[in-house]
Amino acid sequence: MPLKWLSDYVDIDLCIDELADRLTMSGTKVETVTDIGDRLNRIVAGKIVSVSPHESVGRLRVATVDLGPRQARRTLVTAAANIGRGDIVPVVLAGGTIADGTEIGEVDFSGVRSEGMLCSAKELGISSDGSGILRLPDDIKPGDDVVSALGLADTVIELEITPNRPDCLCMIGIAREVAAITGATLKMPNTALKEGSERAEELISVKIDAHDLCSRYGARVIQKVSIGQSPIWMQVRLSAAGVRPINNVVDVTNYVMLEVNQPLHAFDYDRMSEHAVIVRRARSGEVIVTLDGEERRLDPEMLVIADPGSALAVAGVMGGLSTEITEDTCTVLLESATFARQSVWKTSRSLKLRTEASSRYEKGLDPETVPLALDRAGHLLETIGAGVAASGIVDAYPSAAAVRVISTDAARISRRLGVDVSSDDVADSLGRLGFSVRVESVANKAKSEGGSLVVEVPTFRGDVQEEIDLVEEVARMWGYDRIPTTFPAGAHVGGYTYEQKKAMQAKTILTGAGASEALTIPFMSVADLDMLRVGQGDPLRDAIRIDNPMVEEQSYMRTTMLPSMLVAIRTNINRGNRGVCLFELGKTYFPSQSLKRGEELRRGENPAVERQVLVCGMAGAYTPRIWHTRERDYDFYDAKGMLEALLEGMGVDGATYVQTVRPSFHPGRTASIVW
Amino acid sequence: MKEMNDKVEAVVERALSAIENAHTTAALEEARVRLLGRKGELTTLLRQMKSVDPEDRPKFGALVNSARETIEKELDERARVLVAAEKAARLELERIDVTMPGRAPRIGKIHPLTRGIMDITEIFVEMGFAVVEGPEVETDYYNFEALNTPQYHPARDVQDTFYVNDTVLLRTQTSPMQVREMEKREPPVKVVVPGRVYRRDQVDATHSPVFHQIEGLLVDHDITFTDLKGTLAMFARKFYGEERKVRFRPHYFPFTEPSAEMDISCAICGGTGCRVCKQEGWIEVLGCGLVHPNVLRAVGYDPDELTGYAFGMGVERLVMLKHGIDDLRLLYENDLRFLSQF
Repeated sequence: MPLKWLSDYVDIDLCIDELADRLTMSGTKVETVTDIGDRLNRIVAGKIVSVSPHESVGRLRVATVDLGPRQARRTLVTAAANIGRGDIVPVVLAGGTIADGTEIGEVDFSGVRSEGMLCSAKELGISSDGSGILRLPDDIKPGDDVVSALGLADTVIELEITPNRPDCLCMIGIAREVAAITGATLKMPNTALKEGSERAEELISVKIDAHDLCSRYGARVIQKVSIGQSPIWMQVRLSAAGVRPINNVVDVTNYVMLEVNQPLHAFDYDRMSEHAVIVRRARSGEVIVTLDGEERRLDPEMLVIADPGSALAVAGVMGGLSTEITEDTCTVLLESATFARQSVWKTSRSLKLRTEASSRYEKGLDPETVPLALDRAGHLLETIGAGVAASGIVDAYPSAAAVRVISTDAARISRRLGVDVSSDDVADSLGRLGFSVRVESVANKAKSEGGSLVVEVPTFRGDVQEEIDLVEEVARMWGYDRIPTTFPAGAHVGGYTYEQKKAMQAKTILTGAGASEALTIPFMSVADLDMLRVGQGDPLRDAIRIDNPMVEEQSYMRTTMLPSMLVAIRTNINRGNRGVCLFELGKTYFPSQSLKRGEELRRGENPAVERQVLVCGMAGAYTPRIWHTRERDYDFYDAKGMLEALLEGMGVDGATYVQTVRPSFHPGRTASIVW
Repeated sequence: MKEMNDKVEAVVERALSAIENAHTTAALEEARVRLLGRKGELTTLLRQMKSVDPEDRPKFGALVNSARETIEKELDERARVLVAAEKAARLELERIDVTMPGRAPRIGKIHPLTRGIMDITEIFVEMGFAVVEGPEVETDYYNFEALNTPQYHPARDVQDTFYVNDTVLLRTQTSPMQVREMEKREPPVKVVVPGRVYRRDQVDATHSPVFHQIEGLLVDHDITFTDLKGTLAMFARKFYGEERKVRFRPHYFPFTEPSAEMDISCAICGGTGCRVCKQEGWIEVLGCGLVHPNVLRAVGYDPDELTGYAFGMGVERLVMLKHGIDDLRLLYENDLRFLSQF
């Protein structure tokens, strides 16, 4: 979020540290504060007085540049061909630096000395366009500092926007928060239009077939379009916000999206058959080539924007190649619509295609922004001379969203927070955030079940559903730090369960007996069981399979503690630890009967039988090589001794050991414990 | 009588010389027998009593007894010296190098994550919380649905989930136990839930598909946001120390409202900003909030009657901060050289 841009919508009187702190403490966490353009140095505007070819190097040109009355003219050598007499261009003087930090010096080009460098947009950090010298607007005079004239030096704040606040994914949203916490006034963007004489509704028609997936579809037609670069100020702002400038029409759609959080899509009007927009479900097997050149197979779960002939765009995700804006585009249809967020979510995932638009639609958008975005885009396109808006918009909005009304009162809010807030506090806090608050008369209060305050929720706050949501709004405007601390009343007896106490006791004994506790990842694979020679019909093979594992080795929940313990032992041995003695008190997981049969689980039922299991592993040298004790390897009796110590410590008497055979263990050195 | 006198004196003189010349306890014992034994010189002398004048006999007896006392005294004296010397010689012979390593019994260590969980739960047990544990293989209902996170909810996106089938998953948080405990118990419900949770995160220095959380829940009449702040501020003081500052900032979780994150002042820089706290001066340690009315409704509690708070924290993160561990992977490798440091 570039602060200069943000300042268009709200006056910011605070220093950046104060602003960042206030935003963070009111719920819009500032992650980073970065100065951009701070590397640009000694860059001034120059007017080209003359250009001539370099005498010996054919591809180079030599320009004489006027740097205003206070500086001498300079000679500059460039390889770019796009400059001519009278152009105003950015000049890095010798000793200055460009966006990537490169310092520019005086350089001799086969006998001609260049006293600095002419810059492209790329070298100023405005865009990735390094193909030619940037031409500055006429209102910049020779000698002007380019960094300040173009606003290239700025502070960009990166914010963490929580998923409940899609309205904050734009300039206006953040400006509204800043206004609310500072008391400043929110200034909405200019939407004044000239508009041409032709009426949009005579140029296009819009029909929504799938009302459940599209609640509003607005369209505006832009005529006499001339595609070109957008003005530098717009490119500078888009770049600062992390968006690459492309052309004037696309840049305006992106600019408006960043301003008001409404994705806009531009269609080439002349390439739409019958100029009829149909919002419908895709047909089974329908195919569209999207803007990225990929062929996408659609299904009826997905929503498309179509003309009577074919699908033109995947709604809310990506446009189609057939109506892409090109240099030849003369008339543009601008789409501003509200699609069901679940639908965009599903479509984007099944196509494995996430875009800036889809990620905004997924979070839920305000249908009331649809006309604002169209008007704002029309205003900008007209202002920058990219085209003229036809008169009016076509707005298919079959059933306007109802305004949500919540009644509450200060006492109920105070009871949740534990502090006394007054009706005025509530009205003030909510008012600053764009809610309208009405105090109900006492006579009405008896009838209405709720409280004495009736709150109208603005349409952009879809997250505010009920009274408790207002409590949070009041609390964060009030300031969490101003809320005192208390300790809950009531005596409660807590503590550990019998099993937890026994587990702690076992761990104490085992560590006292020389074993260290391991914690492992409770996944396993079929290969692990094969390695352990577990038979095909063995119950250990009855494991819970993970549908979407990260890797095949972790595709099952473990039914035995052995594989992960063996891995831990291997790690130690491989790293040169001579002796290993580890234990783990962990879980094994078996499917419940219901899970196995694929039955629906009863409320409270566990899908798995999770058993607590102790495993102890010993390997390598029993004692490290010490001067007075001879080294020997761990053997069966060490393991048995550890177990005996544990049983004795836990107060278990009378265990006996019976020679036994298990597939994973040495046939002559295995015992089962009978108790 | 003069003759006898001389004989006694001669015996005493020989005895004293023999004693002095005995250099071991064994030689001294030999001398004792030779001088004082039944066939010893003094005894032999006493046997000559018959040849002494009867009137001189008492005098002679006294003389011999005095001689015996002198010899015995000298013997004892000499014995003490010799025993002491021999003991000293033996002890000198038994001298060892006490700086050599001891023969210690092998002691194992509790895993730092287990230790962290024990330290944290202990603080809440003192505040009256019961420690409960729950299933890791969980249903979509308990993990999401009942926690006010229906399908397509934006918050589901943040947690990429391991699924077993359409309705069964590996829990992504310990929060489902909030619902299970409320269903099982009559209010007040006051529990902390340590346990393993799962998310589809690629392994790196700060992520693991398996990690641990501790959840807390208190539901009762008239629980307020000030109670939440009080409880967690107390926890922070006990776990991190009195000198650390605590702050609460608004945040979002689907199952709490209002929600907050709790930060503590950075121990490394004391709040001025450093690499550890990403220049913020604060370190986020847990998420919390008042239990969302929809969660209370899901278990059949009346949100007008009962209120509560809930909190949750990631154990790995807290343990790493506490011990200055910079790579989470170390916690699951079980290398004894690592484990033995705790």
